[in-house]
Amino acid sequence: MRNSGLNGITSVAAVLTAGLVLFCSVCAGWAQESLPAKRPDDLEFAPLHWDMQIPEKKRLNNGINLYHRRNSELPLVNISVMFGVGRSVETAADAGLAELFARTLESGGTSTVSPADFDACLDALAMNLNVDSGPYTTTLHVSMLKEDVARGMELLAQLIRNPGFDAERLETARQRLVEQIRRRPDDPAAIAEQLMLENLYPGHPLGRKPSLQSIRHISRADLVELHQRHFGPRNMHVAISGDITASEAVHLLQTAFSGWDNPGEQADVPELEPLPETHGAPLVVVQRPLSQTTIRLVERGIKHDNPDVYAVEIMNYILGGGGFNSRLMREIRSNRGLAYSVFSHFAIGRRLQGAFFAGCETKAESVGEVVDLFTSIMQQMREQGVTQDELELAKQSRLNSFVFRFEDLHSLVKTVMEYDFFGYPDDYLVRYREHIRAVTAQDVQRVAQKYLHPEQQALILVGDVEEATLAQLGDERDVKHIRIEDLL
Amino acid sequence: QGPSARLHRSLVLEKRLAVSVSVYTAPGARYPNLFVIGAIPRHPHTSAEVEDAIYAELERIKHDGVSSAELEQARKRLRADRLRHLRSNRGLASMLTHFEVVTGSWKYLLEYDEILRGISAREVQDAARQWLTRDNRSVITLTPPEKHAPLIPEDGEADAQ
Repeated sequence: MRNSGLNGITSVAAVLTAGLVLFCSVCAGWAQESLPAKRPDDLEFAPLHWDMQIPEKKRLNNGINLYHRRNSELPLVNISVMFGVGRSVETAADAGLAELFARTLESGGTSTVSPADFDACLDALAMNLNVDSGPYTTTLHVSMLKEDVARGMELLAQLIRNPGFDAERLETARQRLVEQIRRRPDDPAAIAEQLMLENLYPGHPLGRKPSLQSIRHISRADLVELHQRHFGPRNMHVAISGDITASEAVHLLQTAFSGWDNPGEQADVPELEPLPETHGAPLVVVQRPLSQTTIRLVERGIKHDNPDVYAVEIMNYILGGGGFNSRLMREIRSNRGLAYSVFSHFAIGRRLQGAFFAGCETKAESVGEVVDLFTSIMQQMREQGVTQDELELAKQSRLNSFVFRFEDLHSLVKTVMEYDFFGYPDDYLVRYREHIRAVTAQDVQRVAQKYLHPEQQALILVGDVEEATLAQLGDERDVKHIRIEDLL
Repeated sequence: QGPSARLHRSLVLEKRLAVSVSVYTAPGARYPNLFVIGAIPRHPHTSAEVEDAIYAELERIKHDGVSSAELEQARKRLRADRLRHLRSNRGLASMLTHFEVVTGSWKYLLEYDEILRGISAREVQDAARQWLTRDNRSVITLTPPEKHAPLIPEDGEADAQ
């Protein structure tokens, strides 16, 4: 044993020597090119100084809002064009309209160029185009080389002003969506999300998902009508970043959209119906033959203009937003080994209250124990608040991760455009850290008491839910069994 | 890649056999690796139909090669995608380390455009002929067990036909 141990040491030394020789020859190679032969951790830098680079905003003559930031390191330009129309205009009979609108806008060509020819034009420029459909907005994103920016803007403007909504491409998009809906039962997290939304926003456009029935009769005429009602310069918001100056961006937009007007356009998101009241704490169960049960607890949260958003952010970090630093993860995963990942999230609502939800996956026989832990950890936060150490860690984490909002220039410009559209204060980003620093332990306990109501939360279970679990958890809850077929 | 790419056009847009199709290499590039074509069939089309449509495109590229316009377009896309990768620090770091390990020097990044310009249509066709063969191929199909029989009755189809 001793011998083989020595042999081991000798061979490690041999490897080290070989490594050193290799390293020295690499150093010699560097020296020849007069590059510094320092290890990365020996390099010295000037003190870090960071200026927040907030995008500029301009309003063009025809009403278009432009957000711009230049960065000429690479010969690329990114453009996002957002219109204030999304899922919130759908009814129960046409849920999926906004999604099919986005897919067919993206792939349906223009009134004068066939879809196949338009695809070829995009590919000739290596231009990536995709259209996002959100609750309140539809956004076209393109990325292109600087050398193609004039042609790229022209193609984008043709698509926005005179989309083709080709009937064949609508059919392709519909069939792809049918297939996605058919595959929903394969994804328990998506089923749980669908039920969460239904429970938070019952009978409301934001509480629905497209169904096989609701997408069946959406026609080309519906897409054309949506375009006519909502696409116009006054409802158009543009984010441009990359190797392009502000005056170039303005000039391109003015050229591409000159003479465009839509007197009938609705220049903001249509008025939303108020959220219906919800009553009781339902237990919603979808039986699925799965080894792990997906658990979600959910209730309505807050809207962005609520002054408590910062305290709620810190509270949620400590509760379940901070990964291994959070109480839910520590207790349910680290201490008890009942789940791989545990989380909670306060979605900040833009026009309506957002969702608060918490959850994890666990084996069938642990479901009751895990739900009780969620409830008691939330209750404990309401009753006893948080420690100074937890508060400091949460604040430092939020303050230090703030810089990553500025890592991707285009996503920053786009985010600022969205903040403006949804009515965030102009100095939201500038004052964010100040607001976070000001949060106290008293604030955290106060918002826990105000916004966390474990006894009122809807509980959603997707999996092989046992009778004993139903008996235990259904005792004080209104139990609803949902068939998977009814979610398609 | 891109909406007019051959596989997407044929399988998703024209024949409507698949919801999506993608092409990538795995698991890495340091050693001989795999060229992977993945597709999701669209009900009621079978994975066998999707496979046949993929093979038809492979035969086409082996038999007829690629046009100079297609090649130019692919070069431009690779150039643009490389620049898009370089936008983030993470993308830059991963490209430098990737080329250092795979090609022997990070400087490959600087010569990338020139190397792309040197690749001919003939070489593309030859590579397809050499590697995309039946003997060199493995096919994996993931299907649900019987108890997960289709939830939707046949008359629930939203097919336009």
